[in-house]
Amino acid sequence: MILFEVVLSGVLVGGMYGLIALGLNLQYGIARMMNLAYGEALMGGAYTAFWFFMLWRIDPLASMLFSVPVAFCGNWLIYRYLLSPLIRRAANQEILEADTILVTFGLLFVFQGLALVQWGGEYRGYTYLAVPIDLLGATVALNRLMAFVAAVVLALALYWLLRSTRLGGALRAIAIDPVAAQLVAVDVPRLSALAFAAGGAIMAAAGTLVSMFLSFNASIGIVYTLKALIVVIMGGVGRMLGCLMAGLLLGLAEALGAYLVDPGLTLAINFALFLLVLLVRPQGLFSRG
Amino acid sequence: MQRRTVLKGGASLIGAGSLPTIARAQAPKSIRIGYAVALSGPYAPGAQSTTWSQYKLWAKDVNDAGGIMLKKYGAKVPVELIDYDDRSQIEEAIRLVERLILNDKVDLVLAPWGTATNLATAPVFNKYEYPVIHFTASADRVAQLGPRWPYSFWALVQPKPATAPLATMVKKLTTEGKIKGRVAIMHVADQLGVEMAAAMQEACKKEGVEIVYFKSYPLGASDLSPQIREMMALNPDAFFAFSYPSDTFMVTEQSHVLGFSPPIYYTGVGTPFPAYAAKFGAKKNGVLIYGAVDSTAPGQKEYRERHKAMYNRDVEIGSIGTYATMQILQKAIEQVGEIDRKKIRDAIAGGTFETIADVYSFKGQLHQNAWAVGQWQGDEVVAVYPENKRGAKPLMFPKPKW
Amino acid sequence: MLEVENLSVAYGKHEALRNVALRVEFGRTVVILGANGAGKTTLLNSIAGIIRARPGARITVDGEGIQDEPAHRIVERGVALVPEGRRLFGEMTVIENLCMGAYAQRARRDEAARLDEMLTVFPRLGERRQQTARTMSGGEQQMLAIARALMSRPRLLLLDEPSLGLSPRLAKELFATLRRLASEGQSILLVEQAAHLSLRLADWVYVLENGRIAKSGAPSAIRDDDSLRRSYLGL
Repeated sequence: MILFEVVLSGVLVGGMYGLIALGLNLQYGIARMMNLAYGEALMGGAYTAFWFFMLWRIDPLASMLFSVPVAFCGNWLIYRYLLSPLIRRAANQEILEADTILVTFGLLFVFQGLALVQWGGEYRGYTYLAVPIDLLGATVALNRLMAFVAAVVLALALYWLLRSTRLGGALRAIAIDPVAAQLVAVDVPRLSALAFAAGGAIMAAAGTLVSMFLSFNASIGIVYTLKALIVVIMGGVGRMLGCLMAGLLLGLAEALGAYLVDPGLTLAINFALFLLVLLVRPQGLFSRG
Repeated sequence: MQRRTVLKGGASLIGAGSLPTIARAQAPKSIRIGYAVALSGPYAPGAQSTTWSQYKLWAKDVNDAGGIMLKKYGAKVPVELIDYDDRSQIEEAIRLVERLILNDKVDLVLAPWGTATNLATAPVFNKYEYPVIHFTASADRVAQLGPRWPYSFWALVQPKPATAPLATMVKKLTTEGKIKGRVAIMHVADQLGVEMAAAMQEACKKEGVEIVYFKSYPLGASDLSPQIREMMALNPDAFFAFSYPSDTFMVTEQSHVLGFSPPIYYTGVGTPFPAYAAKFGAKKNGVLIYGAVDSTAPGQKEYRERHKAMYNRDVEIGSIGTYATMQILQKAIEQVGEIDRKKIRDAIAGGTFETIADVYSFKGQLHQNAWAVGQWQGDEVVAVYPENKRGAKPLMFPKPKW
Repeated sequence: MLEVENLSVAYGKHEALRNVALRVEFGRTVVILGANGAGKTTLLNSIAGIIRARPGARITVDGEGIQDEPAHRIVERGVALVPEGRRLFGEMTVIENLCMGAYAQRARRDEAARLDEMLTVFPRLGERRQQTARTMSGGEQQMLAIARALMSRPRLLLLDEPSLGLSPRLAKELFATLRRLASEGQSILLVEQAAHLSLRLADWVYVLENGRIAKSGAPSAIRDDDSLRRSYLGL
């Protein structure tokens, strides 16, 4: 029975990893921008949920109606006015990547600094839906279960969008070859901006969900950016279901390793798995070819 | 990295105005005090709320009162802070401290934030013989380093004295038949957590207390429910988590959800934070805490009000302790009456200092008999152990069930 | 229908095209011959909007200037490029590639009919509908690239060295297909090094040398020009 609970815990955490990786996959896999300030959208979503709840008793889920559109617009503006000028300026892909990393690294400090000045450095948390739910005999917290369900629904929706719609086809085409996409009449700058903005919006939603069960502070963003990056690389750049699978795999490995070997080894297991994937399947676990 | 010079001007005029007419040595325009703490990077939140904010508040308090009295000149001299951002990088912190001492030629320096940064910069302070009172640093090693680093003082409770009262407490409750004395320990796999857990393990052994669970978890863990379930199966009645803020919050919430509510429940850094109180409300009552301050100490109430006025938020005990170290420094300077770092060092080493947090006296540069354990009692954090100290409140037992 | 005037393109200091002018009449096949590095690819890419020409250039389709339009708008105007190296969506299937070809607004309405048509023109693609593009042979990939471009119902098809890398037999087959398209009224602008095959297809020929149009004329005139015979026909 306890093993089942461990597996369940791994699955729930893994779903969250998958969720945060989905948005990065849109930004890095489709819009082709390595955004180091990606996690700041999560921080923003978390703070929004926190303040809405503490100051006005607004339901954290309802706060998404504010934070998600704001994150979408904010990321769109970042892409449009900070990052796409770099595309025009850069002589080649390497220079572009170096430039975007520098710019988004700067952005990370700007957002983190603003949050620090505005809200101070302390850890924040609130209690919401910390209700035990009986799931096949095991007890899980409702807030964690909800984040997991959201992750799965979003991943499946994105998968469906990319596989079965014209827009999704265009997004995949951009991910594969932006020049070729232009040649079949895809408005690459517009759709890239859209994908980038959607990635940020997903991260803000993830921030709301995560803030329901994990405490956070102004410097939390980069932690999630790195986690998301690991999952994206494991799952395959541009692969939405792969991303979810890799997140689940990581969560499961962590939970099982912690239970069967030692909880202190979670991080080691994390990186061992990551290195293994890099060595065996550098293109990602769930990439074709 | 930018340089900021703050809070002089008006305050120095007051100092000049009070100069007596008899010829004395010219008082310095200001006492220049430098420090490097993390204002960006992963350490920034902790450093800003616990350390940087207190340095600023103290400087404001001092200058509002006209400055620090220097007997030698018979004048109050304002303080001037020179601050750098070490960007959460230890090498940068070391470089900046040298820069403060060698280029900026500051009169005094203040401690950085975090155990690792404090331990890494201490040799520099000692090389140039600048007295420093370290607060946000706790490691068993500092006890042995005393003779080698005569200019470094350690004000926070160190792992051994922090855990010994816990084992004694369990032993006593067991002997009284109130609990079975089954102890569960979990700790974050980071320096402080590891050292605290090891010290606790040793203390339990000494007291003959049974440990039924002892495991670590990594920094940044995102789920501790399997560990909690594993512990619950072992039916412990005393739980100790040597944790950091994010895990403190998480393990507490997950214990609520899973119904893990032993009568002794102790968590680490973060437990006394205002955010903790806001999140857990009445459920915090009875939870034991790593470290404490004497809530009845003179001046603390006024300090809390000034803090609230400046930052518009409540204060946590780490900040109070940091501010207390500034009071010690100020008192030592006033005792010496001039900026003579050797004499200031000796004054700190030999004195007893009443502050807003505790009464400090250093032996081997280590604060003796520091507050070790606190407890949420109602809406207040009270100091519980060592129980023989002034201001100690009796332990609330058992913790009310969640 | 296509008119190019005063087209110059530079990469940094290197001038790849200088004052190029050419025209393609409706329903005609125009071939541009040129050696490696003569600027052929640059010419097609700047017509398709992937590369920006220097100010002063004028590229018109039916009289309307497109030199400042982004690439995806140019496709909507009815100009489709089969680029150098084909640039298929390697991870997509044959059908998915073809459907992407019909992404343009102008082609969406009767996408299904066009798809059937393409699978008849290129029967080999019909046999491999669900195959992943990158696993196909060079000849099949070239067919797919052309079919993808045709899916947008272009009024003018631009082809960048389609015979490159194909065996002589496959190249012949390819040109037979192109001839068939041309006979059905498709306007084509083709750049090639393979002069033999392309001269047979052409209604008009331009010769590009060092970024300039060196000569132009009917295929027969080019065939009769001694210096050109040596350079391009190896005779």
